[in-house]
Amino acid sequence: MIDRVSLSEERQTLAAELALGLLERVERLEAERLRFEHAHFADEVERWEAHAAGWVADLPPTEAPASSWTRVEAALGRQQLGEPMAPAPAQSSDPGQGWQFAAMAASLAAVLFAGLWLTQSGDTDPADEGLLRAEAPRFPTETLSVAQISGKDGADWLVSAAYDEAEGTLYLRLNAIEGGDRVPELWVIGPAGVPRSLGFAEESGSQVIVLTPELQQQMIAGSTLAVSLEEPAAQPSDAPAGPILGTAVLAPLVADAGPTGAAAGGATG
Amino acid sequence: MNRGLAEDLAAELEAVALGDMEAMRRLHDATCHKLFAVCLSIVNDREASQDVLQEVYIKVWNRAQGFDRARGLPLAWLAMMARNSAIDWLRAQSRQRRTSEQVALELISDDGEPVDEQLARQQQAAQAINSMEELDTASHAMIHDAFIGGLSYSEVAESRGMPLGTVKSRIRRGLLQMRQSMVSD
Repeated sequence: MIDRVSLSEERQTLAAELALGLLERVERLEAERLRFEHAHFADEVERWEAHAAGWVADLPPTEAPASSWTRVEAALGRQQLGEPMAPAPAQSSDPGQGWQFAAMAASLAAVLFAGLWLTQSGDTDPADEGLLRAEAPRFPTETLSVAQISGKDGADWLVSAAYDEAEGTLYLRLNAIEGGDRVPELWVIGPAGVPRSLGFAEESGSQVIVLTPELQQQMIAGSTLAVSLEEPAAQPSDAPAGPILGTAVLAPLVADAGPTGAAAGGATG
Repeated sequence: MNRGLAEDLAAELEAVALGDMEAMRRLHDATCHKLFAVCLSIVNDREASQDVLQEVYIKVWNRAQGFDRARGLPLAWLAMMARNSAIDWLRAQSRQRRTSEQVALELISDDGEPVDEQLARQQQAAQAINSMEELDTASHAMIHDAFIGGLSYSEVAESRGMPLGTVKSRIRRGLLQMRQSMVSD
């Protein structure tokens, strides 16, 4: 775990370690949470990222194959003809863990989460009820993980998320996020410790996203979900640029927790 | 990178974000040798590096809107995309080749650190004959290599056959020195 003796220097080093990808899984997830929660720490990480990017850019060039552009052009042509595009940024990845913290929160938030989801269905406009019921995840399921994001000030919930690993499907419900001219964008911080966009979301209501295999690898217990407010754009960005509204840890449902699925929840950011 | 080249690349990226294929070609021609070097340095295989390079430019085409010249240099943005793609490729290959023994190695964690720290102290004592300057240079090289190769502490230790504690202490020392130099720059 992260040793926080001599905090100031320790955090400086931690920021560098996060930016350079040196941390192991548990430390990385912890550091990424710090990045979301502390602006100065986030600035330090960004400074190191920019510095290290210069190392890569400074590598001496090597003659690329003459066919490089032809291949790129052909691939782009195929893409424009309708081959699937990756919907979100991709960086390094590897399998991970680090869900112990989430599991503790999960056991407390489980019934609340399941209840909230069901209550929300009951509160909806009857005209929408069928759609929402159809979109809601099945309870219980052995492959379901959940998270609930609340505002940083402990205000009402912002996003309820349930992820069905078997289907690679993310069920979302957003609670009237007011972003002005910005739109909510959802992120996952998986085992690689870097945020990946899950895409833009409507400010309220329910939504179902089928994730790419690459993003599915990020959606493991212990991963952090986050929601930020971003400028509208045609493509998701590489990293959150706008304010982070909140975070929560994805936690597995407890299989024997009761008739409503007894579920799990998340730590708020 | 000189200012003129940076501005040219930034302009090309902005045009690519608007769907300008000619700008995409110019951007490719201006950067492919550099990005190929990044891919090759990580993947260490020319044919595979070409595949990764193609993937990099597809990502550039799809994500050029995410580039913001106020937040960084275009070549660094592109180089990082190449680095990350190459590391993704390498890890995907690693997952395919993974054996149970490799899995066991990956499970080595900080639980063993007290032993490693002990070994680290022994090794540091043995290295007392080295000058501090040599040690610092080695630390900086270790940090560079780790970042470019996308290696964590434990992966650096494994690749160099060094105790984890030694790797951590060397790298942390180097990071603090680098930070001092970043602040004074």
